[in-house]
Amino acid sequence: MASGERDGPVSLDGANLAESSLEDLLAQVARQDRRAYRALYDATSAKLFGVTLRICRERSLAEEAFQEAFIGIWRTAADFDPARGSALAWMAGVARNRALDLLRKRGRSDTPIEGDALEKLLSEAAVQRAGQADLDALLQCLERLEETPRRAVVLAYCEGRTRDELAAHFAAPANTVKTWLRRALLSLRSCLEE
Amino acid sequence: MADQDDDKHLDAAERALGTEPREHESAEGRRAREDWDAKLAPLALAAPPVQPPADMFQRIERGIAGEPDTAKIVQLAERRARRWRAVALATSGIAACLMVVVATILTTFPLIEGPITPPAAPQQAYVALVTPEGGEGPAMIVEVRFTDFFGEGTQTGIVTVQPLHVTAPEGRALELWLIPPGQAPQSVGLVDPQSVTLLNVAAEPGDILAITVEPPGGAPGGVPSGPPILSGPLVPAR
Repeated sequence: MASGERDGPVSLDGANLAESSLEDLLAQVARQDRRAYRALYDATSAKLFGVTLRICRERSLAEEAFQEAFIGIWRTAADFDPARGSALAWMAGVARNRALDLLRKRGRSDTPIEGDALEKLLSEAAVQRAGQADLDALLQCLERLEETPRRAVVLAYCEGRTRDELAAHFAAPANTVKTWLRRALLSLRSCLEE
Repeated sequence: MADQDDDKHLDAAERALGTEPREHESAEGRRAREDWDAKLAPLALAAPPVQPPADMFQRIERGIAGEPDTAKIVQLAERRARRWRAVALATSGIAACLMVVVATILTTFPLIEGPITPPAAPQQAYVALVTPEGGEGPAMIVEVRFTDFFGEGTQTGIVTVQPLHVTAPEGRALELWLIPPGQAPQSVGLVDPQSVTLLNVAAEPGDILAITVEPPGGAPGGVPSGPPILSGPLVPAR
């Protein structure tokens, strides 16, 4: 009874939509399947909205970024290459990049970095690490870094902080921050390749 | 060998991190950055999940269809209205005026900030009549009109926000009407497009607000002389 509303491959019916992987759904979205798009949205919207909200901080900006990101996912689903990562990771990249773009264009750069920001971010992540090998590996590699570079990387990545904001936070020159970030990223890369 | 490769690789990593801009990324640079995106993504996805607003998927679908996004228009107008509000507060004693937002949808295209390009369909003006945040201050109109802004022979949509940016034809007046569903239009009053007009309206979402062109002094007999030049349903302000 699976019948597509459009020409082309049969689209997934209600029963197997529920069992489809995100990769399958995304592939269907690339073929303009609206029901798969809805299923993809239902499965991932809370997670991805959480991603944009953490970066944009301001709710209406986050909504705008999220909306544009999801529209972008509809339009560019064919760009997803399963060989290079999971569908969810790809979607998170779209959402994150859109959030960063809007943050840079229109966000306020005067929201202070909170004292316990790093601890909060890492404990939020730690809650989920047991079930996710890739998150666990990344956290282990982050834990191997020294405190300051780890703080810089996590604040930059999770909160979208700029080098200048980090420089002010650490009371260090922006170039020093750049060096910390780059050394940390090199360490992360070799650690992840182990 | 190692240094140059590392530099490029680290540029890509910092672009993924967000501490380097992505504007002039090459195709190769993009692939390198996407590798880093994939490596770091688990950390992004560890953000606490948050439900987006219930109407979000609808807004997304409208964006895909190229329809105007009402919520976005309101946001846009409110953002600009914040600047107008400071001016208005300085120049007039503010009374409560329109308590809700009107959105008129006369054509379909996505509304984004700045110049926009219309689809190849017949176009009309697109207007929203809004109040600034909090319902105080002057009502004003967000208008999108098509013009050859860059003098290049193409039409772009330009968004403007002004206090009642409407011009009455010479020797005529503009009148605002409230039309609850299924009822006759009720006059709210004349509006002066040259200055801030403060209006008191008891209205509910679903009512229609409309502006018509009338003789000076308003519509004879309290009935609109003709079809509205602007109209739209009321939607609740955020």
